[in-house]
This record gives sequence, C-alpha cells and structure tokens, in this order.
Amino acid sequence: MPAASSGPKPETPREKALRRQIVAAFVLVVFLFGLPLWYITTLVHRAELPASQVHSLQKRLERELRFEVPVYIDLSNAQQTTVSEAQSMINQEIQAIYPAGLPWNVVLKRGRGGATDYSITLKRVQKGESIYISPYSRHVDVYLSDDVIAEKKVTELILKVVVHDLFRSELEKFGHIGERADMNVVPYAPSYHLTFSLLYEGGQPVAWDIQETWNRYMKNFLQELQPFANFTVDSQIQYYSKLVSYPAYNPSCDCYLLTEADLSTFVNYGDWNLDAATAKQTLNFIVYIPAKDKPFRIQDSTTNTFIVPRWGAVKVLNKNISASSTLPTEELIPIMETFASSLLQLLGAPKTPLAPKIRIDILTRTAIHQNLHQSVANMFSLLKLVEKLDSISIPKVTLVHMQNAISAVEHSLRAVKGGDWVQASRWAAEALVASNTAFFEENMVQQMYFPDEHKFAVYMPLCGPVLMVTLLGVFRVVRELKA
Amino acid sequence: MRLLPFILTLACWLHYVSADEAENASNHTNNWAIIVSTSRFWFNYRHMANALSMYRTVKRLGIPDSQIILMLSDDVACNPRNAFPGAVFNNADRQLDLYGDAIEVDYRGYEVTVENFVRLLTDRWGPEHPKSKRLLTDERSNIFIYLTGHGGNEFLKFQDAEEISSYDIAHAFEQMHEKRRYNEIFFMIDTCQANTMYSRFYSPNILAVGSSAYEESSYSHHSDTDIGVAVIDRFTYFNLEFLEKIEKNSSQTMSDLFALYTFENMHSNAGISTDAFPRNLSEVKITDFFGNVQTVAKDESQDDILYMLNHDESGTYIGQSETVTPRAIHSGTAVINAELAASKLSSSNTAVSLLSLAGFTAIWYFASYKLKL
Repeated sequence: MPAASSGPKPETPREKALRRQIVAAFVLVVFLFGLPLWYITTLVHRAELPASQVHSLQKRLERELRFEVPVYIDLSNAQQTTVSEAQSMINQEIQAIYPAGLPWNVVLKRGRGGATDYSITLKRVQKGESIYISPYSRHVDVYLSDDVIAEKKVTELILKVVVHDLFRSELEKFGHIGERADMNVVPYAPSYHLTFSLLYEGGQPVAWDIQETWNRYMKNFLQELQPFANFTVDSQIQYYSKLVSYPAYNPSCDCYLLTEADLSTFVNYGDWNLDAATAKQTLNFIVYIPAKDKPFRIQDSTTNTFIVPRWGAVKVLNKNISASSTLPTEELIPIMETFASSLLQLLGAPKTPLAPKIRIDILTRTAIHQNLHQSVANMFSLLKLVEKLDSISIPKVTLVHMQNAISAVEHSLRAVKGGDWVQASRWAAEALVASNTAFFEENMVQQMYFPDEHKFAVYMPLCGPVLMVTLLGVFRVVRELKA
Repeated sequence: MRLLPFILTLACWLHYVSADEAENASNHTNNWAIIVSTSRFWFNYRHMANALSMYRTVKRLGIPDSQIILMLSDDVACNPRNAFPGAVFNNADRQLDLYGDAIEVDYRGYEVTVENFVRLLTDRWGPEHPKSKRLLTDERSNIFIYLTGHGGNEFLKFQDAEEISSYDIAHAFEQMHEKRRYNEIFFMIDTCQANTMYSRFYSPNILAVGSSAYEESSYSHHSDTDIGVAVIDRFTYFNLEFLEKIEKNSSQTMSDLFALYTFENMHSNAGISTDAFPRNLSEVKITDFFGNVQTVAKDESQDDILYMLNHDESGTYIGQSETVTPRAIHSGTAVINAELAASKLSSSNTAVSLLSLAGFTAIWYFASYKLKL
C-alpha cells in the first residue's frame, strides 16, 4: 500500500472538463431558469388601467353632458312664433344669470305633451294675468287677458314661469355645482333602506297602523321616487326606550323643553336597537313617545320633529298611552307627511316648486349629473393611487369593473341626450357602484411596504449558500483557465 | 362722534372673529373610532385594559357601537391566571370592571392581523363581510384611531406574528384621503417609540399623538399585586384621567388634553404632530373626536307631499299602486367573467410554480444519474 501522497490525486483533463461543464450548468440554470422564475413569481400583477379612456370620458362629460328639459306649450297656430321668441329669451336670461354657462337648458316645444311631460296651457281670462303651477302634476296654467296678448307679454310670462318658478331651484343647483353639499344630505346610494321605529318610553302595549298607512299613502310616494333610487322598508316597536338625559322642565310652556343641545344627544345610539341588518344605506324614522306627566316640546318646531344629518328624522309624539293603545291611520298620516318631507330633505330634493313630482325630477337630474362626475372622479382617484403606490397589485377584476363603469357612463350619457331620465339615472347609479367596486376591490390589499432589511433577511439565507458555492466554482475555473 | 371709529373697529373685529370661528369649526357629521390592542397573552394585560378603557370612554361619550371598531386578542378576561374571572380592571382599586358592560368586539383573537387592519382602513372586503365590521365613513366623518401594543422604530407588532410599518399606515391613510373617506383623523398610539409611527404620514387633516420618542420606552403606570401584572400604561392613564371628566357637551379642547403630556407624567417624551392639521388646537373640541355631538336640523317640513301624490287635482284619492317595481340592474355577467378570469389567473400561477418544481426535480435526477455522482 503506498503511503498517503500529499494532497489529492491531480485531476485528469477529462475530470477538469466535466467540472467545467458542471459549473457552467449551474450558472446557466441560475441565470436562464432561476432568475426569470424568481422574477415571474415575485411579479406584482398590475393590470393596465384604461387611463386615456378615463381622460377622454372626462372631456366628453364636460362637453356632452347637457340636460335639455322639454316643456310643451299648447298654442294656437296664430301664436307660432311665440315659442321661438320665448326660447331665445329663456336662453338669454340663463346666460345672463350664469355667464359661465350651464349644462342645463329648457327646450320649448309646441303641443300638449304626455302625462309625465312638463306642459304649459294658456287660458283666456277677462282681466289681468296669473300663473298656477299645479302641485299634483307637472302642469302649469297661465291665465291671460287679451290686453296681455296685445302687448306681446306672453313670452315674458312664459320666461317667468319657466326660469323663475318651475325650474328656479334646478337652475340654482346646476349653477352651484362643486360646492360642498348640504350637511344633512345622505350620500347617494342606488338603494336605501327605510326603518320606521315606534319607540315608547313606557312598557304598556302599544300598536300602530303602519301597514295600512303605508299601503295607502307611502307606496305611491316611493313609486314616484323610483327613478331616483330603490327603497326597501321595515318597521319595529320598542319599549322602555330611555333617553340618555332628560330635558329640564320649563314652567313657561308647562312642558319639557328640548333645546338644540338636548337634541344633539337625543338619539340613544347605545341602548336603542337601531342597527339594520342590511348593507344598504339606511335612513331611520323614529316616532318617540315619552311617558312623562308633561309633554315634550322641541324649541321652535311646529311639528315637534328634527332631522339628524345623514341619519334620519325623529318625531316626538305626546300621547297618553293607556292599556293597549293603537295609533290609528288618521293619527299616523300627519306624522308620515312630516317624514315624507324629511326624507326629501335628507335625499337633497330642492324646496321649490311645491309639486313633489317636479322636486323629485330635479333631484333625479341633479343626481345623474353628480353620479356621473363622481364615477369619473372615483376612477381618477384610482388611477392616481395606482401611480403613487407602485407596489400595489391591480387584479384584472379591477380593470373589468372600471370598464363596466366606463360603459355605464357612456350609456347614461346617451340616455341623457335622448331625454330619458329614468334610464340615465339607472346607468349613472350603476357607474357609481362599478367605479366604487373597482376602487374597493378586495384583492388590491396587501402589505405594500417592505423595508430593505426585511428583503435582505429573507433572501440572504436562501441565496447565500447557493451563490457561495457557485461563485467559488466559477473562480476556480477562471483561475485554471488563466494558468 | 368720537366713538364712531371705535365702533367700526369693534365691528370689524367681531366680524373677523366670527369668520375665524367658522373656519375653525369641525365640519363633521359623524364620529367613528377604531380601537386596537395588538398584543396577546396574560403579561400584556395592560394593553387590553388600555383598549377597553378607551372603548368605554368613546361609548360613554356617545359614539354608537356600530361606529366603534374594536380589535382585541380578548384572551385576558377568561384567562386561567385571572384571579377575577370575566373581569378586566384598569386600576388597582378595581372599582370599574371594563369587561362587565356589554362590549362588542369586532375583531377577536387571531382576527387581529395587519391585513385585517389595513383592509379595515381601506375598506377592501368581500361582499360577505358584515356591515358592523366595516369602516363606513365619508368625507364628513371624524375618526379616532387608538393603537396600543409593542412597537419599535417605525413598526408595531401584531400578536408576535407580524408587524405593520409606519409606511403601511401612511399609505392606507392616503388611500382613505384619495377616496375622501374622512374629514379629520385623530391618531393616538401608546407603544414604545410610538412617535416614529406617525413620522411617515403625508395625508392632510391628521392630528397624531404618540407616547414616546425614538429610542424611548413607554412605561406602565402601576401594577395590581392580586392580578400580578401591570394594569395600565402611563400615557393612556393620563389621557383617561382627563377624559373621565369630559361630558357629552363639554367644550374642553385638545390643547387642554395635551397640557397633560409632560415628561413628569409620562416618563417619556410624548409627541404631538400638527403638521398636517390646519386647525388651531385650542379650538378643537375633545368631543370632535371623542363623542358624537351632532348639529341637528330643525325640520322645515311640508305637510302635504303625500296628499299631493295620492290625490288628483279634484281631491280624489288615486288609489294604491300595485307594487313598487324595483329598478332593473343591467350588468352582472361582466362581473362574473372578471371573477372567472381572476381565478384562472391564480391557478395559472400555481401551475407555473408546480411545473418549474417538477422541472427542477427532473434536472436534478437526470444530472445525478448521468454523472453517477
């Protein structure tokens, strides 16, 4: 047996070549396979969002979103020119009030119009002139005498009716776009849930004919509101509903006087069970019956009602509840009238004109305008955010929701052009929902920020040993080749 | 006549003051609170007590439970080591059981994660997530955010498993700002090196306070010998001491509260960041964040809307509408397609990974076989 020679046996050229091949194989695998694989698997998926489309949509919205509200005038043939005269007067008047221009105008048409159209009828009287805007429909009667017609004042009268009466509040709304909305108004939602609660401070059984009242009066009201949004309803009765703090007795009115400070903490959110089991935007309408010896009065309120901004309305009802009292329909109607008024106020309907149908029309049209702009603003927010946070992932779903929103905006624009407010409102609501869904897409959440120390700590144990061996092999081959 | 200039000046001054007041009033209509204790285990008793005390306070001051999001490990009250089962106290005098009143924990135990916290702030949830566990704020909401636990330089540990960095919270706030989901935020954090947590905020209208500076510890206030651990932290203790005296309609301001943030009280340098907060602190009421004071509106109600909609010109009742027809929904298929695409996307990722794994194994096997190593 030969003595152990110094060092290992020198490598044969074949072994050397084999080792070089091995090193080359390792390096190739690392670079050709490992690196691309690492890159692909750690890539954050970022769908390409249609930024240019959103920009052009914004421009289209500014250029093309024009509300042209048709108003029919029933005229005899002799007064044919009156329409075009009145139209140009109206245009001038609006231009004079809002020099910057409005995305809104009235288009006068000859004829009677359908049942849901705005219509003006001219009627002869012996003397003077007067206007009657029906609160029951969308109809206006203008009474004029021969003198007025002779003096060619008819156009002036039409101008007055249209600009200063019928659509005054709509003009104001469109003229003040972009101003912060009323504090009381709830944000728009495609569907609202209304909860009617009867809260009684005492414990005697009490009932109310809410179903009957509902069927007879509220149903038609909500039917009218359909173009604006969907509504669902429920009702409840709760007993022993205590207030957090009780108002002080006021001898001058012989009552418990609720001041503004009392009202701001009146609703007992902690104890009253008012959470609706729905994800919809909820509005609460509360009838509160105190069980005290003296009545409760809200300072400076004729209806004993107040509105909690964006939340609902509360009516304080003073009623002696003896054993098993019932609130009959007759008693509920005035309360529901108040709540109907509060609901319109909470939704942001204008105060004038008197006719609720016209108020709801105006509400719908302003909502269309607002929702379309809000949808585009949402998409802009998303684009801005995506640009700012460069490691957030953007799943395909976001892109699809965004495309849905864009097409809904386009549909709505088309419907507005055709004067179909109902369809326009639906599409605008859909655009709003889709743009929100795109923004709040659940897969867009991840821990976005990793400090460099963390990355180092993760990759070092993984890459260190592999890199060390490969690099040493490469060095050795390089040294051999040089020698 | 000599008085006239004086009166004019006074009038101007009064006008100025009232304009200033309007600017300094908070424009919020609703209040929300997020209260988080990020620690687990018995020896972190004080963090649970901190969070529950804050919860009690905001609830007492009128924020409804539906607008309070409480995240707790909730493993203390019924811990076998607890000498007072089912109770949590924040003081050695044990006068007040924080756990006794109805408490509504929204995220409990292992649900207290960084992901859930970020999801909560950015409101990114699946459709199945309940409304009561979401932060449904809008541009008129004031939000009070309270965090307690163990932290370090620009991070806060969540239950020994993960941590959230100051960047994560800053980015989440920016997302809220971009979507206009808050009016003002009051961010309060009680951890070690707490002030570093708000150092990365870059969104407007955020008032932030922390219990201790960079490389500084936050300290507990006192221990209860029967419970056997510290029951409350100093920073929270002094905040609570002040807040206990606040009533729902109090007019005390933030500067009154911040006057307590002295080194003598805290044994650390509490920080206040007003860089992104335009209002003057002496005009910011405590109840702007710790309460739910609402400016209610007297109604200007009409009493004939229903009449007008149910009757015609002649006063005849027009009858009930059959049913209220719901509005049609147009899209839907596109959404489903999108979800399909998404699921395909993730499965294709898995396929790539599996294939490459198989490829590696094959290469390994053939290499060792061929070379007979």
